[in-house]
Amino acid sequence: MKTFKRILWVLLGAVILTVIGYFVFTAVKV
Amino acid sequence: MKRFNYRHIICIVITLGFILCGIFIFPSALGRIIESGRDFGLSAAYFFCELFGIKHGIKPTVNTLPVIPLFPSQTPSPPKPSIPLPDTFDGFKGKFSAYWTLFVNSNNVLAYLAFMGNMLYTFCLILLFAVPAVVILRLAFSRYFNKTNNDYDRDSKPLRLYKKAAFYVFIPVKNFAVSLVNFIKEQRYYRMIWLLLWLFYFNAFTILSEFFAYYLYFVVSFDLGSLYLQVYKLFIDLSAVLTFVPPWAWVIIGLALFDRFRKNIAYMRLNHFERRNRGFINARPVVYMTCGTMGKKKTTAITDMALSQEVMLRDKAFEKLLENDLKFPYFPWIVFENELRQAMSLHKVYNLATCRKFVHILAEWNKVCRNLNTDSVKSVKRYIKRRYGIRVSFTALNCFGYDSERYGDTFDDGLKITSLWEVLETYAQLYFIYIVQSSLLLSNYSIREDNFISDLGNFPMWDSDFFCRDSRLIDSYSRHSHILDFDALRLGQKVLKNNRQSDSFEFGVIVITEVGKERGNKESLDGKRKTDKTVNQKNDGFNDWLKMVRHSATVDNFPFVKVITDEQRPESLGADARDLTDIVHIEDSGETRLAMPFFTLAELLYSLLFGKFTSLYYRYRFVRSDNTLFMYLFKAITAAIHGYYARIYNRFGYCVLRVQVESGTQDGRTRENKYYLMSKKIYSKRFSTDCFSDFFTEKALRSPIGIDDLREYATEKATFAELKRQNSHFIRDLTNKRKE
Repeated sequence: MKTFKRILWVLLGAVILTVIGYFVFTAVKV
Repeated sequence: MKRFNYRHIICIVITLGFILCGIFIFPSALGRIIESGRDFGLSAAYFFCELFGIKHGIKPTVNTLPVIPLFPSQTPSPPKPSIPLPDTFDGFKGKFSAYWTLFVNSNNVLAYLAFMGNMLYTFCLILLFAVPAVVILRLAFSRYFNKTNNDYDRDSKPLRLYKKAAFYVFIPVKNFAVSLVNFIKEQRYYRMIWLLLWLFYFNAFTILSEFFAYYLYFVVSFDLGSLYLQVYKLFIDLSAVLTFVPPWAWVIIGLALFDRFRKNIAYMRLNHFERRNRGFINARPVVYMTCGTMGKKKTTAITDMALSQEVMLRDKAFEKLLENDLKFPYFPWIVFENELRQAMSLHKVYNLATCRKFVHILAEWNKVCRNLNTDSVKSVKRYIKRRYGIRVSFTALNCFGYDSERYGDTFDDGLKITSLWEVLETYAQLYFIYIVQSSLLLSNYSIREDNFISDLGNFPMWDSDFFCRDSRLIDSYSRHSHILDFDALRLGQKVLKNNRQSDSFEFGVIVITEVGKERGNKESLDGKRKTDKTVNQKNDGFNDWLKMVRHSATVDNFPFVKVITDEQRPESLGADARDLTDIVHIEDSGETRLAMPFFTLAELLYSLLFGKFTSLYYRYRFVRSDNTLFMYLFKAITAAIHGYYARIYNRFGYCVLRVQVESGTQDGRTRENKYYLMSKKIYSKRFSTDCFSDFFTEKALRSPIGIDDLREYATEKATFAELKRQNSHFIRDLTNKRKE
């Protein structure tokens, strides 16, 4: 359960980073 | 003769290297700082002229774009810094709307997804090479288990080669680097020069100067339109550092800052928990008892509470010192404090009673000296020394140089009139409580504390932090609680007649673990009487002392005392004493949590690596005893990561105790609460959980046999002879009944 929770947190972090990445990606293209 | 340290030459070469760096890599830094100086000067002149209405023709240059290079030369100059910002606000607005148009463009989203796909592809490629490498490593490692040996501590050939290489290459390099770093740490000038050079190259001074130049210009012109230009100029100046530092270094800097950020959050949370704990302790009466079955962290909890309570007593004394100070704001308190400290150093003032006596003597003789000339006051000084043994100064007999006629010698707080000498009496006691440098804890087991006082000869300040102490230094400033002499807590008969410590307790925090075993209850004291000639729990007057404990410790209407105890069952303490207390039942202690956020990924990787290592390591230890290079490195890396993980948990770990508070009368009404145990505060060599173990050690040393020498049952069913060997009451009763 503890490991599962940790994996969920890591996945959430990855999603947040992907969204931030999109902002940066667009900014670089403008 | 002192030898010249060759490291100076290295430092000078580094400095020259930095200067060359500035000439070839940051040629525009000098031009920019000259420009910023000009901008600042003109803005300052503009500001003052506008402010005082002086006619002028000054045109501030802070809104002009920097000229790069400032000094054109024949040699090809470096290109102007390119920054991803348009140089006008209109250009920025255009880019901004273009950004959001692109942001919601489906092609852009698809391009991003394609980009992500490419990144995943690269990642998979790395994985493609990594997985076989791991499989090969595993296979190579499983080879170790095919061979069983008992070659105790024998190094394999690759390991011997590695150790030799490390010995001749790594260790000298490391030693040299460490010695150089230590040398640079000692030589402040090199560090200062390097820091100033790099701040100059990175336009730090320019940015600062431009900021003030724009500030001075803006406060009189309110020219908001030029704000964007300043942002643009700022980015031009920042481009020096942004482009010079490589991306991987930015990643490291980012991670270091992130680490600092999360540690700051952790410290904030730990301090918040500490404040909540203090609120909990403050809500308890003067005497309270913590109860719980074995292993519920009772003693840990009372130690934690005592440490916080001690800090709170000093904080309270500090707070009240200020309150009393402000009653006579023009009184020279430092002179009075110095007089008191001198009396303390001569052991004429050593408790609250002697504090009061000291001030009474001074008050009395100040009255006498009011109308005396200098020679007569000197005679009084000598007389006081002869009569009381106290050395007082001439100023002390002149009201410490306080001009009472000018500033007054009474204070009206709206309730009553207080005289100066009454306030001085209170102040002296508070100052005494505040300045006592040994522990304020008196306990029947040892508690370590590491509060320390900083004193520059003026007003001393206490540092009572629990979370930031360096574990390597704690022994250098640690002190331990005082040995609790129970005779000092007895108003009746004492264990020792003529015990010089029997009247010593006035204020502080009394900590008694297993108080029921010390005091007993009605059942356990059966047979003991008040009229017994020898001391016992019924005639020693301890309970009377407990009821009146706050009287000796009250200064300025606040009791500077707390009695904190623990016991497994509240009933183990007699009702007479128990009824005075609050009972804090520890229901359960939760598992250790971490106050530091964003540690999940590291924890996940750690648990994967550690689990893998443990299974491999003990399989290895089971089959062989020699040392191989792979295991040597694997263990070193795992130990380093494990050390880091343990240190993080020890510094930022905490566990929550679920407690129920009940009145000592045990009326059945309980209130739920939480108490936080922070690892860094309470497990940092604070106390020994087996505080009475020395008694059992002595007992065990008397024994000629150990567990291996004890007899075992022969089968799963004990024989009668085996039962008799138990020396049990139950079996003895059965045997006796059979005889009857």
